[in-house]
Amino acid sequence: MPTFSFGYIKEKGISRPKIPFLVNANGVETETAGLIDSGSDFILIPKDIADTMGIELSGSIEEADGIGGKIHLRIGIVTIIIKKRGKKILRNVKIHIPIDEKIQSDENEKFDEILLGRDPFFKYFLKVEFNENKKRVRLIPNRRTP
Amino acid sequence: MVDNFSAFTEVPKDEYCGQWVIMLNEKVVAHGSPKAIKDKMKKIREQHPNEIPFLAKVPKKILQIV
Repeated sequence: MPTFSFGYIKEKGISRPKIPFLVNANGVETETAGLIDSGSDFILIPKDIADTMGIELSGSIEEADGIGGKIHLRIGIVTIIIKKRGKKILRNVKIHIPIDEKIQSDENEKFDEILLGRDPFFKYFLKVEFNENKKRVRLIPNRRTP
Repeated sequence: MVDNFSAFTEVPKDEYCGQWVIMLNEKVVAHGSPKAIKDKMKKIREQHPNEIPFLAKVPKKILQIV
């Protein structure tokens, strides 16, 4: 299986493990970038951004605890495609979208970031390696994952 | 080959600080808040049906806790 290696991106002096990927939501395709976040339990996409990507908000609702307290999240399914130098990995993934009105304002930045959390993102890889010294993240796909 | 992600890493951070940007052919074609960007994306998809837009947030210069 191919491995995928990405340099951290430098954002105003701070380097972060943010990687590019493509989202396909019911045939609507959007390229984007997400922060690989081992501290997040799931993949999170802000509601307005999910709307912009054509993601349908018709799934079930779950409750979660975050830094700002309890929040409600709508479940969605999208296909994500990670590409790097001719290599490609494609997966259907479950995503979580915060839906509470109190966290939808433009000034509220708590959930204004795409997070690639452990479930299911990390499950699709045998290893997710962060190299802080070299500022690189390496994804090694899991052969057994369908 | 178009590489919008690489181009995104080079956009002027001060100009788009804290905003979401839409890029086509390695150029920023729209920017704004998550709410504002929705309508802009709709028009861009209509005007460029054969292109895949790139959408990402330019962060503020602060340490993040997520």
